[in-house]
Amino acid sequence: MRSTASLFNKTLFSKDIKRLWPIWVVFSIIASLIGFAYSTGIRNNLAYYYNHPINLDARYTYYSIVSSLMPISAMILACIVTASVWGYLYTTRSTVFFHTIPVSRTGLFFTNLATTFVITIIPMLVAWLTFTTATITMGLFDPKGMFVSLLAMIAETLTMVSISTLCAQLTGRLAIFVLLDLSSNLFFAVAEELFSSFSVNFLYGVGSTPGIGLYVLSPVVGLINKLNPTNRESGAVRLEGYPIIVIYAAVALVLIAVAYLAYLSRKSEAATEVVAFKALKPVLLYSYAILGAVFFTWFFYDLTDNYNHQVYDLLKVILLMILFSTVMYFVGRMIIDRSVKVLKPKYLPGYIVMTALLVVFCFVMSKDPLGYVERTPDAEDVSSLYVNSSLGDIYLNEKDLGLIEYATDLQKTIATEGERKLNDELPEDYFNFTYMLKNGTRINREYRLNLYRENMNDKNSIESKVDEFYNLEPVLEKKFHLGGEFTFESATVYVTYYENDQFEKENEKYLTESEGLKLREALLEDLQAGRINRTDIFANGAISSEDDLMITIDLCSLVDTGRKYTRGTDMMLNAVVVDSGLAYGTYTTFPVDKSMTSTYEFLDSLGILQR
Amino acid sequence: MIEVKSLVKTFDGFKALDGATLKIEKGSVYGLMGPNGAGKTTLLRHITGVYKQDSGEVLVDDAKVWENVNVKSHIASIPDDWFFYGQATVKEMMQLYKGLYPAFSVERYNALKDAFNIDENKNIKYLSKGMQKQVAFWLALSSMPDYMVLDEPVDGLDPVMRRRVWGLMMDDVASRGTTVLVSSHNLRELEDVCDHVGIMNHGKVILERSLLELQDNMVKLQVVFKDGEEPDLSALPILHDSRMGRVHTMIVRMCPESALNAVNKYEPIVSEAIPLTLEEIFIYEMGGLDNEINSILV
Repeated sequence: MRSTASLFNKTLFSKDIKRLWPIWVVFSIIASLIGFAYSTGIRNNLAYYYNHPINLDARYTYYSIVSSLMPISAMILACIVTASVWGYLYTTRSTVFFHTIPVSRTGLFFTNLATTFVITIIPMLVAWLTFTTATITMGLFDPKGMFVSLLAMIAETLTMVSISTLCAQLTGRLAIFVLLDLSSNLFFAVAEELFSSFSVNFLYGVGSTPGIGLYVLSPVVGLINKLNPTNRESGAVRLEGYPIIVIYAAVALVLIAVAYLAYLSRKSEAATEVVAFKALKPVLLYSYAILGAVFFTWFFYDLTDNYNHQVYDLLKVILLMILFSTVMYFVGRMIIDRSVKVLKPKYLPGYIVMTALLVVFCFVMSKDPLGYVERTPDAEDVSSLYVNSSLGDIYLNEKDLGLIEYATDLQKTIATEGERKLNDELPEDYFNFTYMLKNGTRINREYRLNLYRENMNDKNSIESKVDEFYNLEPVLEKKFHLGGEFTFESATVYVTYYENDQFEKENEKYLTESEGLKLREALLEDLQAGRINRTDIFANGAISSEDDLMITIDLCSLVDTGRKYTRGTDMMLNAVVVDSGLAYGTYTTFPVDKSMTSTYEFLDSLGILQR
Repeated sequence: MIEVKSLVKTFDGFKALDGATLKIEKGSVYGLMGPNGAGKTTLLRHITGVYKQDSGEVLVDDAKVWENVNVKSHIASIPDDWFFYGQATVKEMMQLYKGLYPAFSVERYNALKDAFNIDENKNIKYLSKGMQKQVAFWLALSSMPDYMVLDEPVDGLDPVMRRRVWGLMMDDVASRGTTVLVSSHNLRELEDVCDHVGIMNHGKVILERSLLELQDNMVKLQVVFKDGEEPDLSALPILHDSRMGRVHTMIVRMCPESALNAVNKYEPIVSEAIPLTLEEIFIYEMGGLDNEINSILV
């Protein structure tokens, strides 16, 4: 007797490549069109940047493609191809055929894996080739960037294929596979985001922070976050170090190994079952039921909230949680059992425990056992603090230790006093504090409140501390981006004309870099000469009108945190700061009145104050 | 030779196979019968390597079937619901079989074109159910298998095509010593082609004999005794006895010759031994054991 197959079966491979040609041909055409579209975009942007000299970094242009285009494209394509190649697992008829033919399960697995990978990577390669060709023709040739982005693209595709392949083994239904595969790519990120958003609503002022750990377990989100050269939040990984490529390739190999073992132990009779392995039923049921219960509780609470409270009403949230826990648990049971008859005594303990745990979670969160609400970092531990409020945006770094202490004290005062029920009839102010600690931790606190003039009599009131902080000269300097750490990026002047107190028209002017620098000089003169009025904290950021003219300036600067940073270009050749977290852009909006004579005269010289 | 030893298979707590045991000699045509839910299809899927047993053994030529590519390359299977790719033509499926089965014979495939008379360039999904079944036989026979495992194989075929298909398989049995295992509800059809039969119920093979042995071991006697005589026949292994006028009809578990000798001692006016059909054998052999058996006897 002769052996026909071992790890790879050429007949099945070529059969699948041939029969699935519409997938790879259509996606390749789409990929080449995207490449063409990018090249058009690059042409347009080059034309612009030739007039505005900029450091064009081809490498980051190449890296943009593996961060922006690839992860989602590869995820969708891998899902479609895997569903087509492994689709035989989902009907008894086809499962019987494939497990009858003289090809071992090992042979079937690796043949199918190879088929899925090849069909998925063909359009990816076409996209990469088109894009590379386009950028080379634009004079952006960078062999290392090309090579590394090619490697990264292969690793990404392998990762997506491995996830899809594993998901294909875990169910016996096509629709469930698609849901499982797509949610696997996003599950942990969605879960983390959802729990974070839900939980912070129990805690006054505590803002949700972007995911740190679990995002990595959601490959698409992880890739976009970790690879994106323009990402200013989490810190982009420089591909030159190859670690991200190696990590994703290694993860892919581990997932493939798990998928292989799953296929070997998968029973043919699992076809048409919702969950192919009994042991996974509770995992899937409780994961989706808990996530669903939290999501719908959060969603419906938000839908019915009057927004006068910033923290959850515990009773209301618990009632919603019980309702949606019940719905999601039994809907999950119906899906897994493929029957509507799920009100069985044997299912009640699981339901009761799950619901009780969710209720306890709500209760515990509302009690803030870890003291998050009133916790503020020590000023010495703060690397930077960004105070974003209706009174102006202030960026502080570790050199501004005294100001950080002021701001921290203000935040603690707001937190300690607790939530003030918002009064719709009064102006509402907001104060957001974003700390970056020296150990890399990011802390976010967000408050909305009404300020009351009568509280100014109390030196320890929120109002007094806000007034004091926003009228410190160094704070005003920062409010106008006059410190040495600010580099002018852009500014827009809005001039609104009134005729007999009625709005007449608004003009706007975008300032050039040289005009921006002159604006800074004028602002500095006014500040040093004491010609800038005190900030009226009860004006709610409103811009005071000056007779029949109101002037507002939107100013954007790049903040240098004191550490080295480089600039690059993204896929569309927009200027970006690379090595995010080390520098970022910040905005401020402020009014200009006639008492700021230098600034006023400068703006007048631009001719924009004339009707 | 196919050997199944004490096979057990459970689906969600239900024992589909509960110690099934059978033996199929090389070159024989074995008919497997049983009521719905008896475990026939489950047993066949173990023999073709689709299912893995909870316990027991499935051997083909003394080798285990599970994950044994060598063994499976010699087994052609036609399940009751045969698979083909949605867009495939007969020719494309032939190419697939050719790549998968090492003994596949293109000459045989071409030779069988006339027998089946189907356009090989036609998309299979547009063929009738019966024609799709013919394609399944066409490709299975072209694979030159040593074993053919067939689950309700001729359902949907017209009588002429049934005869032709069985004829082709019998040619293979005669010329190449192909072993055929066929599961069917149609006992009359099995009687024409099988040399061995097995009957399953509740996940067990409850009877396994050669057809000859069965027919030689049971006989229908029609006897007319002299007026007024009612001899005591209780010593005979009578499974069934009925009387219409003076004619006694008895089913006796004996060979025909011995049965006739036994009744002739009473000097009947008429005595005649009539061979039983497969259907009758199973009715009388199994009817008393389990009423469900009757449901398969159509």
